[in-house]
Amino acid sequence: MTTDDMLLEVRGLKKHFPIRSGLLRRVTGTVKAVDGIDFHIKKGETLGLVGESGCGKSTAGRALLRLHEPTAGEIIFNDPELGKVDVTKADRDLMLKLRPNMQIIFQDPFTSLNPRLTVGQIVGEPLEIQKRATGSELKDRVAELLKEVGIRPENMSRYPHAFSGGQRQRIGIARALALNPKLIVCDEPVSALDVSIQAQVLNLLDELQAKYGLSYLFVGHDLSVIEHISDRVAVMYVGYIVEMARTDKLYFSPKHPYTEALLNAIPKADPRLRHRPERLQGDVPSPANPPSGCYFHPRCKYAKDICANERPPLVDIGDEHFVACHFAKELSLTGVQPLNEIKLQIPGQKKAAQA
Amino acid sequence: MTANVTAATIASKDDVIRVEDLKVSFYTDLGVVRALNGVSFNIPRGKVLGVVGESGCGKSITGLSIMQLVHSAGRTEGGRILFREFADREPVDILTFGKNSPEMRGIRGNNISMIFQEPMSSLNPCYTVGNQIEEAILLHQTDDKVEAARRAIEILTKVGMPNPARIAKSYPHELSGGMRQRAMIAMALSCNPTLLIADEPTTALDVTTEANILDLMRGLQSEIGTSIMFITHNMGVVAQMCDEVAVMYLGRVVERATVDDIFYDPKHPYTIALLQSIPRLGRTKGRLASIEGTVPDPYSRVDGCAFHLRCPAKIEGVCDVTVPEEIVVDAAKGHTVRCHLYS
Amino acid sequence: MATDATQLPTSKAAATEDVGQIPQWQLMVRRFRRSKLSVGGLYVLIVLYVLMIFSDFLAPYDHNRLDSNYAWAPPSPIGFENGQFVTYKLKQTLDQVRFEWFYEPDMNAPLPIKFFVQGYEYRFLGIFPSRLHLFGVEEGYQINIIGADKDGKDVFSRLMKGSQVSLTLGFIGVLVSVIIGSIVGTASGYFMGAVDNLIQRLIELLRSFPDVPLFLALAAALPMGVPVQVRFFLITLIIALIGWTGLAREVRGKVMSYRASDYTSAAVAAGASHWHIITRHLIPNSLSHIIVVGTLAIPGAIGSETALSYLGLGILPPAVSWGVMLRDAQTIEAITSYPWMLIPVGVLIITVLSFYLLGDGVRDAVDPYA
Repeated sequence: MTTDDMLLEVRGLKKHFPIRSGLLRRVTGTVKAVDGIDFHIKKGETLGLVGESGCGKSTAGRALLRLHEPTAGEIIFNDPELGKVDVTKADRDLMLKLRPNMQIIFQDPFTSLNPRLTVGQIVGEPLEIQKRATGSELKDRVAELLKEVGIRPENMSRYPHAFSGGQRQRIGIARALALNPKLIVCDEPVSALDVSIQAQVLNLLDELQAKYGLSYLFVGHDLSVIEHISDRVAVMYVGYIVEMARTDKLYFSPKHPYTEALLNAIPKADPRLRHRPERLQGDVPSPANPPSGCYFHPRCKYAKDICANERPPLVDIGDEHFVACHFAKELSLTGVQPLNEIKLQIPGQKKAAQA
Repeated sequence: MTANVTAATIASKDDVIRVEDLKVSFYTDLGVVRALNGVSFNIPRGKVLGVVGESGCGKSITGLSIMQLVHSAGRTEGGRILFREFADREPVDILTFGKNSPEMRGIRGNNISMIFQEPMSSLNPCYTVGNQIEEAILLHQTDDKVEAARRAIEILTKVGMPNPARIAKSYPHELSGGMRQRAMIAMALSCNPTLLIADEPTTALDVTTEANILDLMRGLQSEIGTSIMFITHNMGVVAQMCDEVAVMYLGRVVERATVDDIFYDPKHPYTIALLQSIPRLGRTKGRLASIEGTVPDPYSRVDGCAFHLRCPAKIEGVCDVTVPEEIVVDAAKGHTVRCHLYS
Repeated sequence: MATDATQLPTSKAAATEDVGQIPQWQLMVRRFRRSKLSVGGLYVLIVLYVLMIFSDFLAPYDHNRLDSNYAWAPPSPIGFENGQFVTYKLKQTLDQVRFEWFYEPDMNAPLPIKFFVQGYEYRFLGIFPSRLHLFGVEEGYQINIIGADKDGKDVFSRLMKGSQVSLTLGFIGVLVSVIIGSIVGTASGYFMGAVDNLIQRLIELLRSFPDVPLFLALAAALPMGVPVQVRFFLITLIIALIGWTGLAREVRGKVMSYRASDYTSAAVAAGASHWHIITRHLIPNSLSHIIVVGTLAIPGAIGSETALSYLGLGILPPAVSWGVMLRDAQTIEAITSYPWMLIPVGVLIITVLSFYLLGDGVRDAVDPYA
């Protein structure tokens, strides 16, 4: 048993997809969805992984579980019994032992549950696969898990179509909890939900983390949600991490121009804060054909010559604040303002009947 | 705070659209879905009205009803949609025109246009962008193809396309998401409509692209003076884009106010709960207030106020029985609520 | 974001029943029931297949029973005398001008129609020997309720006997090709890579042979002297071997899409084996699609058998199928003078149409948004 509080260390993770075309299906190019990322997650913490579409965040999350086979890199997982293991090199038997530790929750509540299975079968499936329980013991465990996420156990015999989006997400969470994992990759779990339901699910994830000491890799594109749930945040751009730091530091004093632009772009939910900052122009480059040097340089207002030629490595500029920018230490960028909370109160609960 | 002033009279003098008590239902083999249960609101000329709500509230159907583009299974069962094209003209009730009547076709794309959430499915992949814009111009404004082409390029320039001539010759799949949305905006504005209905136009876009599109829309709006009905579920977008806001829940408008009032002085419990449940940028980690329960099944009928099942301030015997009337909270600022707490 | 009432939902929230407890396949059955045409097609097919099961019982005569006294006999006139159904003895004369057989019923010579008579021997369901038939007339005379052919063979009996081949051969052929196609398609779609490449090229090779000549060549290559059952089996095999490729491609597509779904990924994340994923997730979800494709392939198979037999390459006399009967009807006299010979055409049309209606209904029930 190791007392090291590091749960997961990822080094140089890459996932490239070959582009095949032509009569003989030759490989004519590569989509570098994830192009060499390093990060770590400690026990009981949440790392937010944020970025726009095509940045590779979902791919990275799935690659951790080898749902996509990594093209290169190491994923060192700190297993309570086996010690530090490189997941990428595990053979089938070892993977079977490692899998219970790392589970995943998906984005789309309408396609993440098999419509032909009952909820009980869906939540119990991981236990069946890992041969951890059968018969009535299985049923009991499933009932427990459903209660944990706020679904009444009687609903075990119902099918997914009977449930709303938010409820289906809870069922997906119950399924992810079945094997008592240490790490859960949350792949945009609230993006497809209504705002009020989003809050319920985020609160649930919070509670479960506190109760079971779970670590989360929370992948998302909504910076407000990410800020709310993460201890640390990593920002991805076209396959690599451009900045990674503790949440408050990243949001209030970002060090990468892309982070600054992202934070600027979010529409603030306050009509009295309507200034028009300088916007980021252009489009996100294609991961099959990224620019030279620093991928962000064509859109960056601080770019200099070196940016077009050399890709900046991700370095710690102090206090575990990692930035991939040649000028990280020189630039002074604007982050988010601390929120001026508008205090709202619903006028009286249970107001007495009018006279 | 009852007032003798009715909601109807506080609507501003010059409204480009005034929806009165609109009811739309869908009759399916499995039951009746009352999508709109008496929706009333107004859009003042030259302003942006945000229509906000979660899924199932009917905001999209409202927009489609104004364009009379609702799916054939939907039936309008009551209400009026008054459209006043110019300030000095009398308003006309759009619902008196047939869905495919020449009057309605003369309005669509011309006086009132609409943009949608998914630019890929609203742009025809078989025709170039320029061709599609010209189609609208040729239908409504001029027969001259050369003139139409010229105006198409003009409007593409206006929406900030780099190299408009080349874009006009491109097909939708050759453009990025943000550019496609700009193309759709160009199409919608090509005939200088009086009203633009935008149904979640930025929901499918990345946040940096979204910011640019919103800036564009705001800029165009103040330049051309088009009124906009902006349908969205994102309160941040509402705060940045809108002048007035109508909050919808399960087929009714539950609160209507200026954007400042909605955020700083909301009255309806749903509006307040909604605002409390959004994760706000700049707030440190903490538990989010959530609304208990879920939106009721669309086939079910809810007696009284549709929100009473989830409302923390419910009044027994009142909220579950009678539908609250629209009550004026502040006539001068046009703030109304549908809630028994204020009657 | 979840939308909006413009998409008509498919689950009913009736107060009395819990729709949540109803599995997908039952919901599909409900959707199917709403299409009256498809349900109609299903009922017609049920009737046809029941008739086929009882075909020997219903047929009064052996399908090869010759009687020159009844050559080209028209449908027997049926009357009701003295409380029972009767037909009449026929006076057979040769029309010297047109050189046709002309029959005149002798109204004074009624022939009572007996029910539940003993007739030729057959095996019910291929197992139980019996001589019981629904109806018949006394020995020496014939009742032809839809007429007789040039040798005096009763068309109705031949129709009944022929149904045994026509309604089963196509069905079994499709069943075999469904099994082969599903297995190959699943392997191709699941393992992808080189396996998929190989299988797809093989399928393309097979499909690039023109269908009809291939059919004809294979059928013509069948040995002549084999007994009917063997010939039946071989023709079934031919139909199956040519038809599986289409289904294999469909199944491959479906398997590939289900394999990429989130719930399959969840199973992988829990450590599921290939077998578990295929049997738990991929096949059950593809099954409804397979049923649709299978159902819609049956009329094609029936048509193939009919065509082969019509051309003299499928089922051969003395055996009979509807295709063989079409061959017999391939004369000018059949159309001009003896129109009852064309009844098999009508029966075939009804059968094929019913299968298509059924198949359409199943397809719409399974995938209403497609």
